Amino acid sequence: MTGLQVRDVVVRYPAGRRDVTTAVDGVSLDVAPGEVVALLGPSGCGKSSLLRAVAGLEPLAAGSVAFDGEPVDDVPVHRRGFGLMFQDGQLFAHRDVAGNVAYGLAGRRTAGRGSGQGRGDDGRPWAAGDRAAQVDALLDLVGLGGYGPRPVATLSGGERQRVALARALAPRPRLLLLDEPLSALDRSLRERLAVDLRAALVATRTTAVLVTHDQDEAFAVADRVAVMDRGRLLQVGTPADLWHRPAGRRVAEFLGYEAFVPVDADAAQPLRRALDDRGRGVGAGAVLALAEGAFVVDAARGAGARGSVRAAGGAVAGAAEVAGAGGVGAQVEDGAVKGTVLGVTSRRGRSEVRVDVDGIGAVTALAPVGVRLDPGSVVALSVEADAVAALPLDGTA
Amino acid sequence: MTATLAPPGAPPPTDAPAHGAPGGGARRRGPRASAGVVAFWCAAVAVPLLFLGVFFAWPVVVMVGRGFVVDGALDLSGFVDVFSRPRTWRIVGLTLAQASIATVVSVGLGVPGAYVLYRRTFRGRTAVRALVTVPFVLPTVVVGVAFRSLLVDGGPLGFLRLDGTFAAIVAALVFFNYAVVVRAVGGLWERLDPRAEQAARALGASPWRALRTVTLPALAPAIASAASLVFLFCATAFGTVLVLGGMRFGTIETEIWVQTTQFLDLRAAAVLSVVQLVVVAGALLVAGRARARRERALTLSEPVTAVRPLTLRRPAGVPRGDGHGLDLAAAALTAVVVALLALPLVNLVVRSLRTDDGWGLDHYAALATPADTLGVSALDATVTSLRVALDATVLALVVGGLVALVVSRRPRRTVGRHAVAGLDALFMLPLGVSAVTVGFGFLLSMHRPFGLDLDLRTSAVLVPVAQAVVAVPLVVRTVLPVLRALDPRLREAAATLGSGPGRVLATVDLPVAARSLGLAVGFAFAASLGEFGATSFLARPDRPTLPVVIFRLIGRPGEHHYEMALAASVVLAVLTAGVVAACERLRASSPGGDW
Repeated sequence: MTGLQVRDVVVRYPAGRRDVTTAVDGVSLDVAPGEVVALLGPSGCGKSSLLRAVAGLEPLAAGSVAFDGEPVDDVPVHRRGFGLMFQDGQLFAHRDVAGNVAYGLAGRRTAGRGSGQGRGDDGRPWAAGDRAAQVDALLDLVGLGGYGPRPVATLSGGERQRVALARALAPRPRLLLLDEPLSALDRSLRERLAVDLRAALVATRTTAVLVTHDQDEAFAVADRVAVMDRGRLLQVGTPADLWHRPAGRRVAEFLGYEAFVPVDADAAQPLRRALDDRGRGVGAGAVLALAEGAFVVDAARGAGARGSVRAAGGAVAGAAEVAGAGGVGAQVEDGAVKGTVLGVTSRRGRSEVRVDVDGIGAVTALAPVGVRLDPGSVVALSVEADAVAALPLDGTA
Repeated sequence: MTATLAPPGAPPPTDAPAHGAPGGGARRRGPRASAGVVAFWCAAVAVPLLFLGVFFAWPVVVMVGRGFVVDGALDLSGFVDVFSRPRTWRIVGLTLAQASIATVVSVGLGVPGAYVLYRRTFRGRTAVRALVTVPFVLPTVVVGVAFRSLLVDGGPLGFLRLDGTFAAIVAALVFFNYAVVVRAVGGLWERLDPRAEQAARALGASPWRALRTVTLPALAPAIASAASLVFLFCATAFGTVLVLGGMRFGTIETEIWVQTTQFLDLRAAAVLSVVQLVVVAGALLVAGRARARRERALTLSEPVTAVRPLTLRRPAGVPRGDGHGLDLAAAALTAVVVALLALPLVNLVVRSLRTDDGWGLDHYAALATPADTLGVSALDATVTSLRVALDATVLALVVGGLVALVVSRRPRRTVGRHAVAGLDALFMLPLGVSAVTVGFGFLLSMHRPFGLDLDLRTSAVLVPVAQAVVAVPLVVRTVLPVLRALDPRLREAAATLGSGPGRVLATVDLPVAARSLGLAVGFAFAASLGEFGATSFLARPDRPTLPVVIFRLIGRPGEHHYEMALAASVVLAVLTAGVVAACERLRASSPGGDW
C-alpha cells in the first residue's frame, strides 16, 4: 500500500458539558502517491475536521490514518511529514518572506526523508543546495522570485497564499494538506491561483488533499473529488465522473444542479430526447438533474418574432407589445420547451435568464450576449445535454 | 466630530481635511461642528487637564521646587549632595534590583499561568482566575502584613528566616503582580489563532520549538507591555516595602517618605522624586512602545476555537510527544504558584482568628472599640475609608471617563493626533509618580493655594481628591482599549441614520464603554480603598482610613495590636476583593483592557 489510507475515521468535538458532536462519521479514503484529492462540501460538513485529523491536529475517536502502509496515529504532528496550508496563510508576522519559507527547513537534512531512496533527485527544484538557494528556488516556483527580504505585512492576499504554499512545500512533505487555500481571495485571483496551485503540485509531484467548499476550485485543482456532507463521504470520483453521474440528489445539489424532474414526467421528455441524441439514454424511474445552463434561450425561434427578444440597442418595445404569456405562447413552436422569463442578470457579458418552466420550476437558462428579455414574456428554450445528469434510482444520498 | 480635539482656543475644527488657501484665512470645506459639540469637547479636554493641573502637577512642582529653589534662586547643589551619599546609591540600586528581579520572576511564572488559565479549561478555572486576581487588588499594606505574618518567627514559614530580607520583598512584589502578567498575556493568548502554531508544527517544529519561535514572539508585545507595568508597580512600591523592608531595605518611594517624615530633608526628597520620575518615564515609554506594537498583524480568533480542556492523562487519540508534557509542566507550575498565592491569604485569616485561648472573633470585636492611643476605632476608619473611596471613585470615573473618551478619538489632522497621544501619556503619569510626593506636595501647596487665603490642608476633601488622582490612570487604562476597539464605522452608521453627535455618544460609545465601566469602578474603588502613600500624609489624625490604621497598629508594640492589624487587614481585603468581584460580574465577557 502506498499513499494515504484513511480508514473509518471518526472525529468528535465536545459540545456543551456532556454532549459531543460528531464532525466526521466513519470516513474512508485513499490517496495515491502524486495524486491531488479535493474534499468538497458545504461549511460544517466535517471536511476540515477530517483534514485536521489526518494532520494530527485532532484526536481520532475511532478509525486510523496510515501512510505508505505505516499507521501514523501515534506520530505527533511534527513527525508525520505532512505539510499543512491554511485558508489565511498563517504566515509568521515576525519573520520576513524568506524566514517564513525557511522555517520548515531548519534542522532538516537536505537528502529528504521518509519513503525510499533516490528522492534527492526527483525533479524537485530545491532538492539540493544550501538553505538560501532552496528558499530562492521555492519562491521562484510560486512566482515570487526576489521577495525573500520583504516583510509579510506588505504582501497582498494572493502573495501571502503563494508564500504559504512555498513554506508548506519547503520541507518536502510526503503529503500536503490544504485547508481552503484560496477561499479568502477574490474570485478572479482565486481562479488564476487555482491554476498555479495545480501546476505547482504537479511540478513537485506532491501528494495532496485539498479542502474546499467551491466546486470550481475543486475541479480545477484536483484529480479526484470527494464530496462530503454531515460527516460522511457521499461520493468520490474524477471531476467528469461527478459531474455526469452524481451519486444522488445531495451531491447533485452541491455541485450546482438546481432543479430535479422525474424522467417519466411530461416535462422531462425534451431533456430525455437530448440525452438520447448524445447516446446517454436514461432508464425509467430515474431522476434528471438540471444544472445552470441546461436550457439555452433559443432566440431564432418563437417569441423572438413578437419583439420580446431583442438585440441590445434595438427598438425598445412598448408595453403594449409585450403580450401576456398566453398570447406569446401561441407563437412558440409545438414541442419546444417554453419558459416564462422571471428576470435577467448578466455575468461576464452573458445573460443568465431565470425562467419558469412548466413541470420543472425555476431554472437558470443561458442567453446570447446582448439579448434583452422582459420579465413575463415567454421564450423558447433548447436543451444543453452536458448540463443534465441522470441520478440513479436509489440516489437518495 | 472626529476632529474636534484641538485645544481650547484653537480655531473651530471641522471634519474635512484642510483644503484652505495659503494664509489659512479661507473657510475649510465640510460641515461645521455645532457650538454645542465644540463646547462639549472643549470641556472634555479642559476638565481633566484642570483637575490634573491643580491636584497633581501643581503639588508635584511645589514639592520638587522646594528642593531646588533656595531663597528664590535655583540651587542644584542638592543633586550633588544627595548623589554623594552612599545611601542614595544603595536605595536606587535596591529599587532597580527589586523591580527587575520581581519583573523577571513575575513574567517567568505568569506566562505559563496565562496559558493554563486562559488557553485551557478545567473545572474550577473561574475560581482559580479570581483567586489569582485577589492579590492585585489587595491594598499594599495588607500584602505587607500578610507576608510578615507568614515569615515572622512563629509564622508558618518562620523557619526560612526570610523576615526582613530582600527575598521576602521580591516574593511579595511577585505575589502582587503575578495577576498583571497572567491577565494581560492571557487575554491575548486566549484569542491568538492557534493555527499559526499548528502551521509551525506541520512544518516539522516540535511543540517546544513552535512555542518558542511562533507563539511567544506573537505574544511578545503583551509580555513586554505587562513586564513594563510590573516593573513600574515594583519600582514605585510603597506600602508593601515599608512594612516588609524595615530600615534595611527600601525603594526610592519609601526613601522619599523616610527623608520627608523622619529626617525632614525636603531637598533630598525632591531630588529622589526627580530620579523616580526619570525611572517611571522610562518604563512608561517602553510600555507605550509595546502597546503600539501590540496592534501588529496578529490574527485573532474566538476563544471558543482556541481553548481546549486540560487533562492530566494524555487524551485518547493524541500521540506521545504532542505537547502534553509541556501542558503538564505548565499546569504543575501554576498549581504550585496558586498554592503559594493562597498561603499568605489563608495564613492571614487563620492568624486573625487565633486568640489566647483557642479560636474566636475577639480581634474582630476589638476593631469596634477605639484603641487607647488611636482615638478612633478601626470600624470608624472603615466607614471613613468607604466614604472617601466612594467620593474618589466618582471623581476618578468622571475625569478618567472624559480622558478615555477624548483619547479614543482618531483626529484626521496630525496636530490633533499628536495632541491626543500627548494627553494619553500625560494622564498615565500619576500611575508612576510617587504618591508620597503627591501627598506631601498637597500639604505644601494647599496652604494658601495660588495666593488665595485658604488653608485646604485640613480639609477632608483632599484625601478623596488625592486618591482619585491615583485611580484616574486605572480608569483610563480599563475603558480606553474598549472604546478604541469600537469600529468607527458604527459611529458613522449611527450618524447616517440621523443621530446627532450627542446621540451617537449616548447610543454607541456609552453602551460599549459601560461594559468596561463596571471593572473600572471596581479598580478605582479598590485603588482608593487601599491607597496608602498619599493618604498617610493627608488623613487627619482623627479621621484615618483603614490602611493608615493598620499601619499604625503594626508599628505599635503591645497587647494584641498586631492581631488587630491582621483582623483589620482581612476586613480591608474582603471589602476590596468583594467590590472588584461584584464589578467584574457586571463586565460580562467584554475585553477588559490592559489588565
